[in-house]
Amino acid sequence: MINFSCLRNSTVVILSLTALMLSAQTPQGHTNGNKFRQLYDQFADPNKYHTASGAPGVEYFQQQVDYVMDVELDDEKSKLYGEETITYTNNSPDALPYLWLQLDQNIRKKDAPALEKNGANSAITLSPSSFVSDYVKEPFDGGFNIEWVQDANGNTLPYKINQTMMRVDLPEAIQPGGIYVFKIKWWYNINNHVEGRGRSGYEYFEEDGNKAYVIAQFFPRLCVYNDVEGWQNYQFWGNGEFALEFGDYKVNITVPSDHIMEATGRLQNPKEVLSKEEYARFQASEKSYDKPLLIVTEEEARAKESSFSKKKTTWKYQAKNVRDFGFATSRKFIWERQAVQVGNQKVMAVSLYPKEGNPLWEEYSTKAVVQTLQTYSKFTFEYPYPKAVSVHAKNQGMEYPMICWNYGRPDKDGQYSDRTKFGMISVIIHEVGHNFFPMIVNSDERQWGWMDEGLDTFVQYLTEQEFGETHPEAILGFQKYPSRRGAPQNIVPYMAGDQEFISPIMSNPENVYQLGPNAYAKPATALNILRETVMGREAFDHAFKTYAQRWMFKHPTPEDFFRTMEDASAIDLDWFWRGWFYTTDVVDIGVKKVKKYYYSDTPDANAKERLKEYDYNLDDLPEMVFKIDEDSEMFDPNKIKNNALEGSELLKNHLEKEGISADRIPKYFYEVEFEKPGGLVMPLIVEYAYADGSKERVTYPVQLWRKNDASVKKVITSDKELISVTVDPDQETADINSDNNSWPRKEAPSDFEKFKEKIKG
Amino acid sequence: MQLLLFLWISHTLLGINEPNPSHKFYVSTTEIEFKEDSKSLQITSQLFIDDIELQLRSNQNDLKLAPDSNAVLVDSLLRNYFENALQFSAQGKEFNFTFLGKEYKNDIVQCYLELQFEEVPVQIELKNTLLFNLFEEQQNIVHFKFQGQRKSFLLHQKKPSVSLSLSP
Repeated sequence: MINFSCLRNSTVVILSLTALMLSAQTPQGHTNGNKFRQLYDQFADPNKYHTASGAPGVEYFQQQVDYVMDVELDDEKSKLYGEETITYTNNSPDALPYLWLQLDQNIRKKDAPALEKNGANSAITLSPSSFVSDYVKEPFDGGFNIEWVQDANGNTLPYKINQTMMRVDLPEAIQPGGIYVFKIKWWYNINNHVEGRGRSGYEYFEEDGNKAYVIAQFFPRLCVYNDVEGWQNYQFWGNGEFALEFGDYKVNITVPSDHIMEATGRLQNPKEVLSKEEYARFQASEKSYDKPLLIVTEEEARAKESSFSKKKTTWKYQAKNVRDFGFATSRKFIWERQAVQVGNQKVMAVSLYPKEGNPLWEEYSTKAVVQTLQTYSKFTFEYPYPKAVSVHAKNQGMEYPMICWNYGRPDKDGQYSDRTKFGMISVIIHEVGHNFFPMIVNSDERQWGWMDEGLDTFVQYLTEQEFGETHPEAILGFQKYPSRRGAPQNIVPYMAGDQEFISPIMSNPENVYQLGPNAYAKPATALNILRETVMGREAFDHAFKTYAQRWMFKHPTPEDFFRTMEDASAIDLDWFWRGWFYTTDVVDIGVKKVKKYYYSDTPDANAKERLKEYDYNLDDLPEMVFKIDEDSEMFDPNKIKNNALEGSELLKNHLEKEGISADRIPKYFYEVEFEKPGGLVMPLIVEYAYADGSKERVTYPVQLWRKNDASVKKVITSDKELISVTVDPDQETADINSDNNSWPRKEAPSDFEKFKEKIKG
Repeated sequence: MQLLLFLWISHTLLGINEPNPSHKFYVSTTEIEFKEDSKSLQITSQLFIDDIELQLRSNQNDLKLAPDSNAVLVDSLLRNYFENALQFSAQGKEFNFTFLGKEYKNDIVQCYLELQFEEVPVQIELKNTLLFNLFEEQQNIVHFKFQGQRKSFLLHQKKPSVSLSLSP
């Protein structure tokens, strides 16, 4: 090749001198703003609890909290009474003089500050019923009534309630390794969750006078004490969900005798609480691997709607190593169970629903549960609990260990639309999927909503797609399951929106504008892009599984996730985490210019100008050729009709002398300039199309941008004429602006134009 | 932060609960592109089917969308609704637009409207009150595209209007 270095070096010297002379001011320095710098400024330092590799450290600890509870439902008055005995094991290295408990129900107290957490404006228009609830209705009298707090011997313990948190002061600090037993008696009014949109409560069925209860956050629960937050006693304001410790539960729940119940944990006394026939079916269902078996049929559930039994029955449950407990109970419930083999374990997939859920629920609920257990187990770890229950509750989508509430109700005439059906299947997959994140991989939801919602929505997407494959009859009319979240293109409207109303993913759930796209869709999409486009499936799946298994039954932080994904893959991702999780930057990468060029023995005007500028005489220079591109006055496409060498005798002679055959020289030379108006760096995916109809796909590594954040050039040489360049041809990077994605510029017809064309024809 | 005001309403615990992974915020998106050569606005509005279905049921109780129980009726109700909820004006003069039709995309209905100017004003005022009477926390996003430039606006009960400049 021809050596330009001599000229280049002198040019550099001249340019630097000029720069110095021209600059009137002292240059101002700057800190490292490179998009590829490591995240030391954002990450918590690794330590003995959370290692630099993203794994639990040698001194990692977590507290154990075991509960024994007796709970009783007053169905008529909608009240719940309970007495709990808590065994607290202090595995921390610290002495604890007091314990903090969460009183989530207090968010429904008449004077709860959470009711006033948002600003309000008087509505321009209002429906009459909204007017009544706004201006006339007495607020609901919710919240815990704490009867007493006692030690194991029945001595009163002092406590102090601050909004949704209760501090119990201990006579002596619990020393490291110490165990403390205490008791609490409480009751509260159960809210109507349909009217007030709670995560738990009852739905009232006017037609038959029954209630269906989905009960959770129903007992004072210990806050997490760990090395990251100390006591995680950030108040419950409504959006940030829960941070909870693992423990064993023994819970006895007393309800009217005609009720059917499901709950976290194994039912200990099925023979006592079920009729003879129900019990036989219950037993038989344990062996039904191919389809669900009904324990209570719709006909039987309908018959019970008017019975209103005055007798009471106590259902007894035990659960090992769970972070919470929830239950659902009503005389309206239809009940079905199916056995699923997950690894070496048998898991029961269970559905519980009132007749109002049919014909949708009998068809799809248990199928969705089964698929969730299978797909999530494949991507994380084998589901370790004995069952997973999907309960139908109007408008609900909420998760607890082994049990969750889900919406999806047909019209009164039994008809339902595709969106009701897919909405229902998706919410079941999502909420059952929450068993993995955060019920088992137990991140702090109060602080980081995305850690469970984002990861769960990501695996939900994978599961929905597999559901479509295993149940083609369910997606009739669609090529694949119509997932609403996960596909890169679906996040574009959110990310392209007004920056004033977008927060980084790494924000507390209370402080984001739109929790749905922020904590669910964007992180799920980011992970999908990471898997498909950045890391590749094999590297991603291994790293993701490593994270899930490392933090199974533990409390991970965001850094543990970020670090593990790199640790297990040898792919530096700090640029990705920084851009997608710590900023609100967007992807916008395009192709700016494509210039054909060749080399000539004589300089064009531009080259002459440059030589003159630096006071060089053409004769003083060693032999060299000059680039002539499409912008040059000398550019003549006919010169290189057959071969790029035709523009230069010098090159031809040189190659001949060196014995290099002319056919080894490509026919066409192009300089392609890519631009990056968006703040996010991403691998550059380009499709080059040639005159002969062939296409070539190149993925340039993201590192291409490390020294050129705004634009970067690439040289393409080919024997075929380049006719088009397309950036991100399969729309896999969530590029918010496709107008600059092709050369020659062609704007894809908008939906509007396509529609107008369609109705014209 | 004061712009957050509209996000939630004062009564009940609405907004306290964010458990659903499905659409749990009330939002519509309207994309408006000004085509200089044809002197027209191309308007594409996206609404959640559930929301607009609820809205149209105030006209007819048992109306169903996607699939439509009565497609002709649904289109005429949508046309009427858009004529009320979207208003384009300049110096007090209101412009009429044509409802071209709609398409369903999963749980979203995409409606197409076209406004043909005779003379293009320097700027127009858009008032977007889509679904305001249904949901007090409704947010309407407007993307305005003109000469390759894109601007985004967030409209709500307190700020239902925005001015769009049609001069280069």
